[in-house]
Amino acid sequence: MAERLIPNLNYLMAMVLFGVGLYIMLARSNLIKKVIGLNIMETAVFLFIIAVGYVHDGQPPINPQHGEAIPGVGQVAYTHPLPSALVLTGIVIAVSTSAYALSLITRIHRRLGTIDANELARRSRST
Amino acid sequence: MMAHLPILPVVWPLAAAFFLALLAAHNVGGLRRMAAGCAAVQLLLCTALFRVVGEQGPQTYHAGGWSPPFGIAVRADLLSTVMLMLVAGISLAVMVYAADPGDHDLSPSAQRWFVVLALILLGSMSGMVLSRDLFNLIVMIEITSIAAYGIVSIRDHPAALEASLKYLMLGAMGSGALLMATALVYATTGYLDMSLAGQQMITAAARYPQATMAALAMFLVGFGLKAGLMPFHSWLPDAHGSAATTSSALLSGLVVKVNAIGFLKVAYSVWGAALLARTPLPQVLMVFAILSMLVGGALAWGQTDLKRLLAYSTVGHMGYVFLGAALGSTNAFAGSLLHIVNHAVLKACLFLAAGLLTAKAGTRDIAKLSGIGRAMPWTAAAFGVAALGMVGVPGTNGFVSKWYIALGALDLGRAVPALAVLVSSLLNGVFYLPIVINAFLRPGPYERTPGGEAGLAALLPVVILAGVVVLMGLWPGLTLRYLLDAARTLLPAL
Repeated sequence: MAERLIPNLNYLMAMVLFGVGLYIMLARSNLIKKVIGLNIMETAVFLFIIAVGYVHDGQPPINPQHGEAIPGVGQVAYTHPLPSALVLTGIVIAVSTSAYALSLITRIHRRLGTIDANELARRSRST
Repeated sequence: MMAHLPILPVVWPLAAAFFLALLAAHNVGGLRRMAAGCAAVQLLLCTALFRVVGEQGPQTYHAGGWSPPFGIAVRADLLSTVMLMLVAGISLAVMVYAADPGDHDLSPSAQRWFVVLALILLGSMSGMVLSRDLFNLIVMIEITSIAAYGIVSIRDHPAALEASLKYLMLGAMGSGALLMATALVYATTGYLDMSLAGQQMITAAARYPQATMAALAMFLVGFGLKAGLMPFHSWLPDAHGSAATTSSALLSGLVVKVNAIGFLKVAYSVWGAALLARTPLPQVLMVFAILSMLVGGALAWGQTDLKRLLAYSTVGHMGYVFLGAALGSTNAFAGSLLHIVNHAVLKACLFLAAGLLTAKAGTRDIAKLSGIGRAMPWTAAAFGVAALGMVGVPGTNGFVSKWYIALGALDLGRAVPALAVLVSSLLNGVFYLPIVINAFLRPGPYERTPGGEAGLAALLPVVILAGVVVLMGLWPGLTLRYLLDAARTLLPAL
């Protein structure tokens, strides 16, 4: 059990974090906490994607300077560069979603004076 | 220029959106007319692409000249070009309607944002239809989703703000599920390109049965959340019901549809029909679809607010789309694709007509709309035609797609889905027809105010969409033959 668990711990933790984030989004009524939950959930996916690209003892996948010898081609393993690029794009999306969510919550707070989801549902129905 | 044609339907509206956003100081009326012009250009581009695909077969474009697996592929085939023309056509109708100077439920500054967001939606939805790369699809879905949350919240009303937030929270959960599913497909197959991942999926599914199954389940939940399929629909009536008329028409007509197309593309080009048949997905999807059709219809029946009724009816009709896909026979699949087209036309027409009717009546309460057909005969008649299309009366386009879905169910010898189509159609009749009868036959306070039609720019899209409903009902072959071909290429095993 343990020898299967330890090498896959990063995947396992990603799934646990995903669950934590999802739970916060569903169970908390504070809208800011929901946004935090959303970010935890997205970070979990980023951790998972990065873990997919990890190669044991891998070098950073950086192209050497022109004219410089490529150190030990054939022996050195490089970590996979594509997942990093994906995560970079993913972070941009997560930031813009969070920014939009926070600006909307600010507008809701100004308009209805609450950042509680249950209270918000009550007040928006009554107007 | 011609070599870059497949990418232009994505680039043009996005470029136009940012250009128009910079022109924010310009007067609103001019901005609205320019946006309608941009949508018209988009329709021309998509038609040109459709003709190229018709003459030379599917076109594949590699963004930046990098071919997969390093670059992103964009593919224009029969299915994607038909859907591109649908997206462009409905957007054009909505933007012409929005260009009408008459009564609007958006403030002038909000109308500016509507124009910009609608063009962003147009570009990103075209991207969703065209993209062949899973991660690129996710990016396009995110652009579509954020623009869709925004287009709900621009109406400055507490209910719209709350609906936008609810839509955002559930949509973001869907995005998380989709991103995780994409990561799982990448981890198990090693590719993000749909065709390449599809080639590896058979071995990947054998080696990692749990991981690939989890990916498929997450795609279902993610796309189900964004397409408003029944157990995941709770945001939809609020968002589509409380948004402005034009926003609702775009959201209900197009945004939920392109997410359904996204799911069909991922399921049928990454997994493929043969592999899907060995998973529980078709059964699960069928249960969700029938649930949507019946419960969505039943909930629509109970509504007194016209726009909420239309929104619940969208949940019901997304059920038809997924039912055809779950059945998986060629007829049912073509029926499901045709229902995407038909329902987009019908629901855009209904929402725009409902916007005019409720603006005139000053209320969204269905009971208070009696007799409005005498004041606004054209608008009410268009609403009536589209309502008949929703019920699926022969001679309207709704009949053809429902017929093909039911036929596909009977091809496979399955009576329950065919029966569900029938019962759901009856349900549609029960709640749509009283509105129409009420509008024309009952007396109301509107009889003394004849000649109360809205301006031409608002009325014309509604009447033309109603005309398209009848046209596609009488000559279904116009679109059906392309979609039957598309269904055959997506289901090669059958």
